[in-house]
Amino acid sequence: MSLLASFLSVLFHSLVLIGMSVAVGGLIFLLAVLLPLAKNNSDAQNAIKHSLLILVWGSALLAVAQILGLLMEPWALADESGVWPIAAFFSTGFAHAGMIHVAFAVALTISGVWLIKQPASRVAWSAAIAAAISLMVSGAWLVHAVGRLESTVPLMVMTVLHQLGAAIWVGGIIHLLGLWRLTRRSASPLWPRALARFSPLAVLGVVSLTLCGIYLWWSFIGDWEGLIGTAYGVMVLTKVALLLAALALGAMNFFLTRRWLRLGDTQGIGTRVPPFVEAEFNIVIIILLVAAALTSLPPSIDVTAEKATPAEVWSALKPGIPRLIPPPRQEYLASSTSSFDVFALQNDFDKRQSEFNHNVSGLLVLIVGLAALLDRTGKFPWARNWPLLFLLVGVFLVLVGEPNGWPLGYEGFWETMVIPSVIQHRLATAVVIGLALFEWRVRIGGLAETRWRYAFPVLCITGGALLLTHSHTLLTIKYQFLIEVSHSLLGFLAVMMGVGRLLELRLPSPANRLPGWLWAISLVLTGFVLLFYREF
Amino acid sequence: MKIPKLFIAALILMFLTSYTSCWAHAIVIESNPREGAVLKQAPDRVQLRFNVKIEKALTRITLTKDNKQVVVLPKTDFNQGAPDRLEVPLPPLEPGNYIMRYSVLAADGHATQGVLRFSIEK
Repeated sequence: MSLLASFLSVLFHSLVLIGMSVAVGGLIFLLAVLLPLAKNNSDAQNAIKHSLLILVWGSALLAVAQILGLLMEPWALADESGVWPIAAFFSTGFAHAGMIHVAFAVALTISGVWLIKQPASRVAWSAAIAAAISLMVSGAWLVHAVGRLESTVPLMVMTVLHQLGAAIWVGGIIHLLGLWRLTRRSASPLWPRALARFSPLAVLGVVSLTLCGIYLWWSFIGDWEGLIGTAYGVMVLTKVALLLAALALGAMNFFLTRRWLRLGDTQGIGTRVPPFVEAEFNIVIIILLVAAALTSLPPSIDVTAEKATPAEVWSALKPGIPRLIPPPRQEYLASSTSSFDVFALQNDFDKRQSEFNHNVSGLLVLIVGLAALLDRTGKFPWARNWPLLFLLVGVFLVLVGEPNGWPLGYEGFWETMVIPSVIQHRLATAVVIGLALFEWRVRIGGLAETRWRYAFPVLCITGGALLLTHSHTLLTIKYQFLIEVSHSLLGFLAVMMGVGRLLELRLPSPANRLPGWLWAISLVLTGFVLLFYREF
Repeated sequence: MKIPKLFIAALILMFLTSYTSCWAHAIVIESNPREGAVLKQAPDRVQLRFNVKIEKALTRITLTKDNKQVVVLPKTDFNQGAPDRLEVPLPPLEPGNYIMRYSVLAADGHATQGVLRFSIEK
């Protein structure tokens, strides 16, 4: 069960980061954005209570996720008889730091509840500020820098400042979304005024996280080879790419807000900024998930012999002849390892089968993507049925998802329903088939105005999150890293597809045209990456 | 923006069943014997150096011979030496293929498992 414990540990760490952003970033948002607008403004006073409620939920989430995250470690360290070393674990410095962190999160939650009841209490505001500062500082003993043998203190300080920058930005976006939901029906002037106050704060947050991030990345990465030749480096690159995408959306908001300040143009700020903030929210949450997964990987500077060269990375990505013919069936079945052995090393037949599965899927996805592109031109009415082509992908996945399992292999359907990867593949197949049918009905009109139109972007964003947070670098073996390079690219494209489609649905026309092309092109690129996928 | 609950349930299940690989946060950057070493003489101890400080009290080590036979290790207090190093005393070992599995907790709270393989020639 240690695999599940490791996975859940990363998941809870992500929730801790999200909770910290909502709580600490939320408090800064309250102090810097909403409180100065509250004098004689009942809308702002309501918004403060609403934001405090979000803050309370954020700090409570942080406390619960931190406790559950702490419990994952003794679970992962359980012996063969399943006994968890609880006492030994809770005598470590890490566990003590974790419990102190929980205590400050609880203090911030209580301060938040107190403020909801008495928003004018200076003592309650002081208590919340003290709890938030203590929360950030105590987090320094929970970061990777604590385990380093050199530069421990500077690395701890820079990590906390990096997290503070992220909290200001991410937390602000979340509270801004909350404010939009509160004010969208009333056309309150609070929305543009809050946006105008938040813009410079967001810039400050981004500058802080970027400057500290550069210091941390170069301390943990070392050189260019470390950046492109290790899982840690590639995850950092993915984080940077996502950050740039989020910053592009943030820049749109910034300029639309400046336009409102100069010309009083409320059109853009009311119709275009909210979808941009929603899209930015999705991307920054993925960035926090990637950040949590990143802390579980060994830094590039510690990976020496298994570091891939630029030439090896290029060989993993460069186009080659796709494998569209499977390996001989009988030979494959005779040599393949059981699906139950998750640690089994792949043999040549396994690799050929995997390449065949990925490359044929890529061809099918490419066809779907090209049909979607044709649909976007508006010149081919039949092309609006493109989602039905996903059924081909679904049928192919049913047939080869488990090459040595049901329906073509020797392992039975129910027998293998206890293996996580098998359950995941079958669920993914069911989701793809369901998506083909529902998205098709969205396109032809039957479900166009229902919430099912969001299924496609949500699936893309969730799939992207899965691909980006699941390391394949067991024991940091180089060939597994080279596989992960493709997965990171696929994860990034999936997020771009989801965000593009979401913006296409949410933005008014004609502003939604560009994101419409973005997701269709990302789908085509996904097809190409899968078509040229290589095993090592 | 509301999403159908059935769809959300499928996505959550997908997420929770996706733990097919694990992370190796604390990695061995130096060992004696080296990974995959073929030795002429049985070693009397294994030394591991990690990339980070480790919480030594939570260390667990098992040794198997030829992938099945469990070798009983002498009781050891790991709380000695540098914070990034482990020294594992071994009993007298017969020729064969050995796999040492270790489970450690990094000082920043990440539990990690790993293996070290070595062989002793006849």
